[in-house]
Amino acid sequence: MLIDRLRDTLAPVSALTADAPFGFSAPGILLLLLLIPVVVALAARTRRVPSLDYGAFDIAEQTKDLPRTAASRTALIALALALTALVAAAAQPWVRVTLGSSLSTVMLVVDVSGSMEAEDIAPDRITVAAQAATRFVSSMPSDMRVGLVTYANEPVVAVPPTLDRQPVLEALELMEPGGATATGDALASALSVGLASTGQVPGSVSLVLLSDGAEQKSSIPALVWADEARSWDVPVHTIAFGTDAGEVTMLDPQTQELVTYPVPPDLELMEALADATGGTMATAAGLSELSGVYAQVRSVVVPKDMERSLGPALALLAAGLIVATAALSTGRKQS
Amino acid sequence: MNSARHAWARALARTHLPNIGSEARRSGPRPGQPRSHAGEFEQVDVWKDGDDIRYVDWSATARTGELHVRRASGARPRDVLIWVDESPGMWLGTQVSKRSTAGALSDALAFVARRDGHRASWVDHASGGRCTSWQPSPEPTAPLVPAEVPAGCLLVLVSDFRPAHVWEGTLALLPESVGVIAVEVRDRTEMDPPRVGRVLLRDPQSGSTRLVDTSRESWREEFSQLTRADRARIERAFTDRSALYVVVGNDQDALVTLARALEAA
Repeated sequence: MLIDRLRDTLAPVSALTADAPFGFSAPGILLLLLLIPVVVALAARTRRVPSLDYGAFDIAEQTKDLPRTAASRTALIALALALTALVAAAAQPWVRVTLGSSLSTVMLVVDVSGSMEAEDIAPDRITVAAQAATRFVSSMPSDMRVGLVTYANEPVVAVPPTLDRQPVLEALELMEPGGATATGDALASALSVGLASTGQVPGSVSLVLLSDGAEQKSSIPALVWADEARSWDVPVHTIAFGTDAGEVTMLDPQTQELVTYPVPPDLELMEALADATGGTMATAAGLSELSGVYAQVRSVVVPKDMERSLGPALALLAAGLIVATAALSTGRKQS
Repeated sequence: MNSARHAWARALARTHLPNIGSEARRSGPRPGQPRSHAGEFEQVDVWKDGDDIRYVDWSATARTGELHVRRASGARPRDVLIWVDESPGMWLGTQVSKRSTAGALSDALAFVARRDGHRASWVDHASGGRCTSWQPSPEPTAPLVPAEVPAGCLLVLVSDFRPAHVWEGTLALLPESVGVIAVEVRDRTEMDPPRVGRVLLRDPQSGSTRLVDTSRESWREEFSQLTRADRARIERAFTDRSALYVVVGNDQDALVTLARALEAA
């Protein structure tokens, strides 16, 4: 427990980059640093070894001269450092750290079912979805992996997570609508591939799911996979794409007649997936709207600078130095 | 202290400076020593303070009405230089300073010398000396052993003889006719340091320091060995020169110890 806490405390320190700014929430307390030399001087004074004029000094000087200042000086330095750390901790120091985006993966999951042929969004849903996704992928940090899973009757890992944007952009251009909507299977594939790319590190993957219709033909329902995603701390950001007026005309295989089906987005499922995994949910019914939603998703999935407190770490350091000071002082008295 | 002084006073009556040095050997009997019991020449002199009551010449006393004693007629008055160490180290001591003890010893030695008819000079470096024969160096860093001593003189050194290397050479260069009595004032703290843990020992003369741990057995053993070797070196330096070497403690028994040592010599 203590080790975990220590690790959590020191984690931001290890992530500190050379140009990371830092500061203090209560800088006025730092004025106490001016008192440290006085305290150390007083401590040094009390530690002074008694001296004695000695008539047999001619004999004593033939014996070994003990190191008269090494231990004392070390203890005083430890004391000064301990006091400095204590004052600094009291001043509530913080450091701005940037978690490396290279540790993260974004899996773009795009519905390419037949409903994406709907033309309620001009020219059609799939074209607009591809254009907005292209902008989204292009805007991602270069050190962040991006993968693409498309799905209709079954999921297809179009591009495994990669730093190379070109395969993803090409795959987006080649998306063709047709088939059912196996949302659950798509989530399963995206989750599996994404975690594999980061070494199964919890919280290292984000899923961005764009779908325009109700779930169909999933071997395991999407909400079940949502629970699995939550267990890996993987948020699913969902985008319900399309309008309630959207419809597609298909040939009925039995009657061999053209039938028109309404294909409204499944808002409930999208919201449920987002809620279950800690992701965001948004609706979009046009290119600009979808681009705006992607921008919001980007702001969530791309790691941002964080201010982390160094107070606990400095307090632990001070405690260690105080123990060291005490040990040095005790050893000096016993020697 | 009074009992000690009384013990010293009793011993004093029987005490004479030993006959040390070639000049003393040429002069024959020790100054002040009565010869009546030896069957040699003697002279009758007016009684002086310190004369032994056993050598009162009752006939001369009855004849003159004044107390007279018999003295050795062959005794030749001798220059006696009492050289008291006044170096900074002598100002130290456990209960009293070694300087204080040395002062009492030199007083007694001067008394014995003058009582026996010698010409005693008492050199006190710090005060410029109460010297009656020649003027010593008033410098506090005066040597523990004077470099120039008249031939035939009896030199009485009262010191702690620390450190040995600064006076050994001077002692060896003294004329053979100079007799030497070395009275070492030894303080027990300097022989057996108190167990007070870590302490910074300081040389009272040079100011040099040395940090030691007086509670550590290894250091105490090393110090003890060095002390024994140093004291043996001092004794050897004086005995090699046929000097009388007397060690007295820096305490109330110092006078008695000195008196007995002189008497035994």
